[in-house]
Amino acid sequence: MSNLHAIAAVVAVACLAACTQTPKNATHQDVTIGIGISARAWNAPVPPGTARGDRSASFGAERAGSGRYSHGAGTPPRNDLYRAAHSSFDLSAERSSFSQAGSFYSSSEELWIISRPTRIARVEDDQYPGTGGMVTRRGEKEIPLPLRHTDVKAKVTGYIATVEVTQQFHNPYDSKIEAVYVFPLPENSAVNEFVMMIGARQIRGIIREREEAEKIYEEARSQGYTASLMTQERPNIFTQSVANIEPGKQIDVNIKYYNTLAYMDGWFEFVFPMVVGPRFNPAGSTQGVGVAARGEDGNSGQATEVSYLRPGDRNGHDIAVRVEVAAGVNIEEFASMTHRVDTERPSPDRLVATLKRSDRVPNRDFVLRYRVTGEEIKSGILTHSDERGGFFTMMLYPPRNFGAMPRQAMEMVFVLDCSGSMNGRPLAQAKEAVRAGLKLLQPNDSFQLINFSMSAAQLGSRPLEATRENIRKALRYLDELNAEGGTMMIEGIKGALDFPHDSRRLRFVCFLTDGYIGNETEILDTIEKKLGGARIFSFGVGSSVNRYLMDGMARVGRGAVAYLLPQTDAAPLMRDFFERISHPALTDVKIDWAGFEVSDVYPKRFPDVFSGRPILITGRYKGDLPSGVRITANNGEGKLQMTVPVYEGAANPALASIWARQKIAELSLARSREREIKKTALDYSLLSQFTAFVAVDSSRRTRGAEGTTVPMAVPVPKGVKYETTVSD
Amino acid sequence: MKARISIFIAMLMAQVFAMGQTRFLAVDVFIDPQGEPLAAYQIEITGEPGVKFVGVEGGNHPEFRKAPFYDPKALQGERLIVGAFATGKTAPLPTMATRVMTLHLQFRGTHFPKLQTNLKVAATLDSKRIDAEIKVTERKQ
Repeated sequence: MSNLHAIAAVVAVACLAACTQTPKNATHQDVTIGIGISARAWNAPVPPGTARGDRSASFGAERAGSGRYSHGAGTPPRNDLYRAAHSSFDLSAERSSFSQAGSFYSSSEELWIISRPTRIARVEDDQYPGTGGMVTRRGEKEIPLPLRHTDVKAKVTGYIATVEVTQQFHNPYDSKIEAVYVFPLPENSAVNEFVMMIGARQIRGIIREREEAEKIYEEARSQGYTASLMTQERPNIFTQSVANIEPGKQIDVNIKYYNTLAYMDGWFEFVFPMVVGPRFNPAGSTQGVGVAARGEDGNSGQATEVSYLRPGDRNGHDIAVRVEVAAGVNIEEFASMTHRVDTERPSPDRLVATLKRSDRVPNRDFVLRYRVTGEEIKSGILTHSDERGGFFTMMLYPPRNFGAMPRQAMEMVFVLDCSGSMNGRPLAQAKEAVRAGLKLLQPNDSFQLINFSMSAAQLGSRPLEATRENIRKALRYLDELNAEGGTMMIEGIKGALDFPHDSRRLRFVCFLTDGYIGNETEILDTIEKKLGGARIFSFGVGSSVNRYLMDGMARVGRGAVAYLLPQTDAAPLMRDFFERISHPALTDVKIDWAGFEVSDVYPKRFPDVFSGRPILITGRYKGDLPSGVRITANNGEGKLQMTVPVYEGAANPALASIWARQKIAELSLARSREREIKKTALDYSLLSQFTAFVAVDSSRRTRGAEGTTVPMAVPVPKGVKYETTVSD
Repeated sequence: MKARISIFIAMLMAQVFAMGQTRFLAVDVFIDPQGEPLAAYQIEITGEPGVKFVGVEGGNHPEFRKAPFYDPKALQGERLIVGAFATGKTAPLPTMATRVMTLHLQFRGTHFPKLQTNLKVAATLDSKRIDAEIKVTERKQ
């Protein structure tokens, strides 16, 4: 036997031996059936309005091909995972006498991810694993997909929500699958519990560094063990992966998070987002959130990918939502802004709202608002202490009359997103809002109107005086705008901030968009660099807005955010906005902690306080609690002072998670804080961009070859057109 | 002779390969409260180097079925400090050896990994300390 033969024999025997040691199913990884792929370059239409009006600037936007809803460059999705999204819904708003068009916080979107690019083979539509196991109806097709039901149970105490979400995965096929679901949660949610449930068995997931968790999951998956992994793609977008679901079997995943409710103009707002909207990613981007038509997954080239159902397709996924509010003071009024709900009032200070059975398609945010008795909302500090130390949260509500100075002249810049996702109702609403805004301008104001999609255009080469003639001109310009093309938001930002400041006027940028972009970080960084003395007020338009971006723009832009839901009037929203900016903000907020030994207080820089908008401050403390702390701020006329009481109430561990989440959010703004973020997230068992939950059922290895990865396809959000976004 | 050597080397390589493979293992944790009604426990478990905890499952007794909580800070050093308590509302509290949880582990090698267990406390509903025993066994697949 030659040496060559000897080596060959050794290798052969070694391989044989190794195979006997490897898990039964681990050698078939390449059999993945996968979801078909075929990227569609998204043809960017001509920027709207570039040939209209006397707009003279076009801000150097890249033209066709400079970006796509389904990303381009062919870079494989990160972690070898494809992502897909899902949802579908219907609405109705039971508004009592609610007149606030705006809203606040929360994120809305949900997605699924599944599959490995290297193992995915193109298959024809409806060729999921074990086609025979599928139930397909013609006409309106129901596509059997792994997420059957989501159950949401929320308890709100004061302004803190504790939310449990159970996702029920099942396998409707005749072979094993891995389910991947990309889904939304509120952008300020502190996810700190994760339990995988197999029948009556409950396996608590372990928080680990993301890379390590992904590796464990991957090894468990390839060896045939049932496992689940939850990762964070954006503060409001998450991925749930469940491996080795056997045919006919169900695996539930239960997660718990805390978040603080938004408060605006007397109303608290609970939001549960249900679907991730289709994002646009500039050319060259690979870390965005891509879009794929169902069956063409894996082609977007982005790290995260959402798969959308075609019009007429349904995924059979439904959702149940129950919200219990214990306000502590009498609830005077409430309104479900987006869905039909059944309500109960066990007592004057309690409210229970349950989503009606007829309204369970998850294709838009669930928004519930309530208002408590007039004068009872007061600023205060809540505290909690345990073996980790003390934590506090302060909600600082602005006083009712903190300034009655005459309104200063404004330089108002309206920036309107005219990209494809705004087509239809969203653009109509945004235009209505701008129209209302133009009519509220005063003669000593000036204004500019900027529209963007693939590039930006504007009404005039410089801001125009708010004369009647100029306003008429602007209204005509506005009427001609259409929505099509990609979302090069950066061009809109530059257009709004890249021109000399008029020192006689306060510059306000009023930004109207659905926020469907994948490069949020770039946008927020640009705002921070270019803001100068301007203030940005972001208006989220649509049923499932990217609230992480909208809130971030307002925060970095030192303004405020409002949401224009599909069924609300735009004019009152704009009136409220003008009312808000007509009062001076409380600036230069300072806190005399009065012996309260605090540390790690976030945000590091206190934002200005606008009329009707409180600010939330959180931190740690040691030692005894004082009776109150003293706040001073400038209200434009002079110093304003108030005392905020400190409450020592019942144990409230949510405060620790909320503090840790806020710390992570702040650290995330600064690059190179990865270690600190990881440590905080691991110490407090929190999901973050650098940590993940993993759970493995090692008690039993499933039979058969490694399962096919199935992305959970979701509908485009209500009001968004598939044709102008997913681009079939 | 060469063939024998080849086979020997192959087997050796296979063994080395198997040693390097990650494996998963379920370990049942029992507490015997020696006739006292067990209402609460806290256990600290550490594994030999390379052992990772990948899931903590509840036990088989109805009062201990929920997945117990662990200390996330300790876990960063692969030290699992885990605890649970029961109220006895759904079923009588266990007085005999009962599985209070199952640990899911990942490790390298073919052997049963060494685990150090320390039952830090076991107690009754009225906080009386129990002189209980802890036992850990591999769950056969």
